[in-house]
Amino acid sequence: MEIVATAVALTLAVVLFWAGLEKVRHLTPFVSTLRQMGIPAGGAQPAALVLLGAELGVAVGLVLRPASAMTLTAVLSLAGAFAVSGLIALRRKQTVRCGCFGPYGNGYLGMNQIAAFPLWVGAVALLWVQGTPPPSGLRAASALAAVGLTLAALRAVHAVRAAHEARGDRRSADEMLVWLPR
Amino acid sequence: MVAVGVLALAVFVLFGVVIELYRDVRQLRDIAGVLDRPLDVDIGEVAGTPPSRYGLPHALDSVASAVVLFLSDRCGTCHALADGLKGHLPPGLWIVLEARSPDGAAQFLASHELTPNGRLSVDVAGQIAQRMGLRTTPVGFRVENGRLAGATTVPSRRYLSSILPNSVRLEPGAISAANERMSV
Repeated sequence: MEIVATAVALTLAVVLFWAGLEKVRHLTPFVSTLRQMGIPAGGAQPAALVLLGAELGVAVGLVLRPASAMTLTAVLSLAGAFAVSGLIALRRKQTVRCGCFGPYGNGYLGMNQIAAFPLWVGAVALLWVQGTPPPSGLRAASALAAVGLTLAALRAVHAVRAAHEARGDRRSADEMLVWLPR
Repeated sequence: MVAVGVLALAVFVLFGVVIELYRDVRQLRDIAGVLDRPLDVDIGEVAGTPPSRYGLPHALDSVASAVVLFLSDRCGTCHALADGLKGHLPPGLWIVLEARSPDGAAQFLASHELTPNGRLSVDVAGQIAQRMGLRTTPVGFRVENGRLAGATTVPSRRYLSSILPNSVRLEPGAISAANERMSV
């Protein structure tokens, strides 16, 4: 059971690291999402930064102190914020682009965030019941390495796919441009 | 271990930058119209009919799987595709060359070291394409069990090689090698 709890904590960490690091790289889409949600222009940027910091902080907490009350409360708070944003988005007339996982996503705020809430709560309940003690220094560092390598590997798959596609385009263009009038 | 984790997270971010650059390039290529993207051609009533009905070789009516590639002497990509054949038609590929004149057809074939044969025919007046309602080249028609099954544009040699039927066969020589082992 402890293995399951550790796997759940690290999975949540992967999700939050992904979301947070994507916002570090490109915050503008997320600021735009917050503005669409009704947050005034002056407050959207600071709010985005706070949420970004919260996501990364909670991700680190899930790696280092997965069962601590503070970590689990922070996870629940974030999940609640996501669900509420989904509810607000559903009540608005216009669709709100999510921007949750950076500029690539085509998703919209709404049902997905609401549907994810029970899953977050379930995961938190499991971590709380299991009450895994904080991992030792080496185990925590290994867990951080595992999370980082998982993220890098997932992203590498996308990068290789994009490179393959670009190569196809380039070769196709080479073949066609040879015959275009100069 | 902490360093590995931090570096891996940095690699994740850098991969994100690389993907974004690829997307930018693809956007520019899309604007320039140089994407390796075939388009489906709606063949309407032609679907399910035998190729010979439109003047294509009768032998096509009995093949299990083939691609009929329509080329034109006026189309740049057609020249590139013909050039890529290096004077040899791969198995499963049939070609119809539309040309403005017999001289134009001869010039096209000579420049790409191709010779008309059972699988390469010349359609000088464009009659075959006219009967099928085809006004675009290069287009590849898929023939399955002696019937025309579908068509797409063929933007590149790479794409052409990907749509050619590949017959799955046993490795030649494997049986004789096995027999030799048995006799020893």
